[in-house]
Amino acid sequence: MSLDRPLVTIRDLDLRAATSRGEAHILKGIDLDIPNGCILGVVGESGSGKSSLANALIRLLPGNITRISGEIRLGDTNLLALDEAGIQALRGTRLAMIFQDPMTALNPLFSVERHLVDVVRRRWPGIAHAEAVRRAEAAIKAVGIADAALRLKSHPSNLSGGMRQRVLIAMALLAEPDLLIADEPTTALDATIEAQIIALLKDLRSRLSGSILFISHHLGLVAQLCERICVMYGGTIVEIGDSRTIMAAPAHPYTRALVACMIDGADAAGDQPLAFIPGEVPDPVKPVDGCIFAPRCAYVVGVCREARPDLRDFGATRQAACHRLEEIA
Amino acid sequence: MMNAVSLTDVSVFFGQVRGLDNVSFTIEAGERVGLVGESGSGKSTLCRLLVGLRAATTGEVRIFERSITDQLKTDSSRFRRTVQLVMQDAVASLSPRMRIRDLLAEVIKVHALPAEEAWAWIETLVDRLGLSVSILDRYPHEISGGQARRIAILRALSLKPRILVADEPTAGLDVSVQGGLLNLLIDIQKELSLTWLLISHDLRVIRRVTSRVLVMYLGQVVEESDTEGLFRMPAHPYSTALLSVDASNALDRPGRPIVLQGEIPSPVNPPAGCRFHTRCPVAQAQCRTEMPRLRQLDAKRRVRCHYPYSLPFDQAVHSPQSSPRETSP
Repeated sequence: MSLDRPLVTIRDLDLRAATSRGEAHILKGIDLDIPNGCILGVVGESGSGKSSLANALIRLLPGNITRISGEIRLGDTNLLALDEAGIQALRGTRLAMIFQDPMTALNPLFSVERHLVDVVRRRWPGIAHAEAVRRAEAAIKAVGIADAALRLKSHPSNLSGGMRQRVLIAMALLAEPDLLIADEPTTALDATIEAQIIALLKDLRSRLSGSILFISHHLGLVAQLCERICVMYGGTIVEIGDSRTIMAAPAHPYTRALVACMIDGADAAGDQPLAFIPGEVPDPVKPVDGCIFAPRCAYVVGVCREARPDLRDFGATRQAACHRLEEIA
Repeated sequence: MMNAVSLTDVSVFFGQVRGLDNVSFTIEAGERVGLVGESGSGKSTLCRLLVGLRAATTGEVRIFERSITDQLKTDSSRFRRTVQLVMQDAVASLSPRMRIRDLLAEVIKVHALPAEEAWAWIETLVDRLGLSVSILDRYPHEISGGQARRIAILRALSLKPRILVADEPTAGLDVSVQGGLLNLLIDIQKELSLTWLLISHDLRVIRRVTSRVLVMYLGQVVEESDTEGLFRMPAHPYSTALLSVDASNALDRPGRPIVLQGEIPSPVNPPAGCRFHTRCPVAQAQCRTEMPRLRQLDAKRRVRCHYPYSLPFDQAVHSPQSSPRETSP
């Protein structure tokens, strides 16, 4: 495999689902490359499609999906073309996922050791039990859990939320996946515990040989952790590029507005109103002709309501989907 | 100025657990005060106490200079009109079987308000909160999460309370719409001279909305300060760590977070001495044995720490050295 070739290539990924109000267009033709050995952050608000994208990658989609088309290539394999056994063989081996809610992601009947050993034995069938336990213990230590031997015997109900998320990260480490998908892994945690988990993920980056797709609604957190950021809105990618460029000078009007909403009020006078984006997120059931952000955009002109802008190069390190990038820059 | 809220040496016990431990503070009429703390800090217990859903085990809670216990005995209906709570889970706080109009009619009936005047006020609020009157004829499942939040706020304000306790009124809302709702609340607060206690984990919101802040940890107030003073120079090491984590996610000036070690201890078995000493990066021998009093540092600040300002804030935010490696207790 050449170094330049991305680990995952997503082309024209389109996803629709049935709802009580009609068919919802969840992902609208997503093109995305996940490079090798990279942490890619996906940022978006509710309904942006970020979690659907993650779930499509590991093919854990809900039953109401009516149509899925396009391609998700992991190396030479098109994940969407695999049968259930084929995708199942990749889960926990080449693909792994850390879920948002560490309370429900572990089996309450199994000890921590059992969770970890199961991962090792799935990844390396035939491995000696003692060796699997040894690796489990090493992984528990690597994620900063003290008294490893004792903790291995604990059950999830004896662990705090932060501990459980550490156990899930240890499981992901043990699988040594090519792609680790982390869907809002710190959202359910307290602020000081979130800081611990982010520090841990930063520390562990060098130990992970594969890539991480880190999904979050928190732009600041993503910028802190990820080299590249992909901003989603209403089932489309509106901007993608290296973190520094995007944070220093967001190009797409949505990214700009999002950054403005999140700027700390440090220099602002106390009586100045808080920034927000007028309007509401787009309804996925309603078809959109032009730019998905047009109804809320401060820079909207006629063409924005008629033609959907393509994701195009804007500078050397990023792409954005807006008709007026140059004019408003 | 009259005190809208005053707590004197208030503790709340749940069996052996101290939900609140010796809490004293006052809120002046018309003030906007923020309350910050993580799981187990006692925020929710405090909310329930202020609206009379739970009684203090020891100590006294006074609302407009009269003890809650007395007010509940003599005129509970009037007390409940005075203090209103907006619950964190807005959708769950609305009965799924009642149309919004019926939910509000119930409030009017229970409090025997003059109907015409009450509905006129409700229509004013509908308009002020950016909703349309047609929403009154819908059921809670037919409205969005953002609308449900506005309705929960509307219901609380429909009684023209003098004190509003809002538990994470914007949690779960997208950052792009949070600002709009908070701006509206600030306007209404000023118009009605409401006293507003805002509980939020979002320090950006606390900074912009409130003029004074209480920081809680394991059932105790550990720092009380004017908002700007706290954000410029926190005195308690816990406040310092919390603010540094937030600063590390700031987009304009990202700093380095102080990563606290270990877990938030269980309130069932709180540490001896200072409750924070198990995680405090600057704890001394005295902190392990002797519980600090909440003492006045200057005109605007009280802090429960033997060594205030000993964890440097500026250095923490700008220091080039890497965050301390993490170990669990």
